[in-house]
Amino acid sequence: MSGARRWIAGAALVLCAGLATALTPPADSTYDEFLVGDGAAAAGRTLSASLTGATFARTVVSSDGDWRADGHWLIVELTASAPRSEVDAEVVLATLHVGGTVFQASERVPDTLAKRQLRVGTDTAGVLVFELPDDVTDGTAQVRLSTAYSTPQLDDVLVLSLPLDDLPAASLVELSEPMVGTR
Amino acid sequence: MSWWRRQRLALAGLAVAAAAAVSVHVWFDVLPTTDDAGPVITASDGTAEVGGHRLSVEGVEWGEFSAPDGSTTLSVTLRAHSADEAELCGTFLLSEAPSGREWLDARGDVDVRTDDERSCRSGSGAYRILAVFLLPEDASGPFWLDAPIGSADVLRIRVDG
Repeated sequence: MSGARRWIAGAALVLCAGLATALTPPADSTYDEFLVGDGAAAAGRTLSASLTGATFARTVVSSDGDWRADGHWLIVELTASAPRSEVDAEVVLATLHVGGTVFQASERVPDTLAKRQLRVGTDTAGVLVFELPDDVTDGTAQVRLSTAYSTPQLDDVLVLSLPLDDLPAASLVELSEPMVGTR
Repeated sequence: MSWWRRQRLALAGLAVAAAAAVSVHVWFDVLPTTDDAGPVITASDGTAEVGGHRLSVEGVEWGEFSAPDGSTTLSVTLRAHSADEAELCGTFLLSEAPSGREWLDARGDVDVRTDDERSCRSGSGAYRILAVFLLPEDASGPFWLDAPIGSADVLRIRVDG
């Protein structure tokens, strides 16, 4: 191989290495979640869910009246079920993404759909409740649901789109326990 | 002697190394792994003895309990005898053979009033186990009722819809 050809081959190899480096996805992408859906309903590997309503409220009260709290609350009503298996079929992590900020569903509110056993073929109706800063009142939010806590990896995460602009606002909302189907 | 001929040994080594790298990646990162759930013991005639328990299907009943619209209940009653040293049982699981859908006991969502056990217990001469599943109306079976017994065995009983 002549001297010129060696230089050309070397340059080509350097270019190939640069191209491979540029095209290689970041290491974290190996474990990223799969976002599924972008409307009012979505179905993934372990969860199916549909938004049925949403309300802002200044006060929420548990179904038995023993617990109440004031704040800027967003109560999201939805139905959920398990597409295939009831094993580990729960909404373990529910987050609200709005304006680049992520809020986790409140864990101090009783009677929510979070960590509730879901059924295959039968919807469970319930609510998820988010405690928000006072200025979160408009824009389009995303409700993301998954059966894995904290960091969903290599699994579906449901994405439900929720416009906040025209939501009704109530002074007080009394929560109901999740209900399986419509008896 | 050409460059390729002079470097044939190095090129062959490079090819072997590349093949090994791809194989290791596929082996560890691409091929799915399976959990060894242990032996599955099938009760072909509806009766089986596993881990100190003797279990047999006493009855299968649809719609025994009230269910939401679009759903129904499937109750499976087992007659059980368990030795003093019988192994612990896990959660019963009902699976639909054609679709692969799986249901857990739904007593938390169905109004069931009975003294029957939910799972097996040790040191009992004769008792009944009642498993109640909440199924959609399009579930028609046939079904498998899986009962994990001990740390390794799974007792599988066929349940016809």
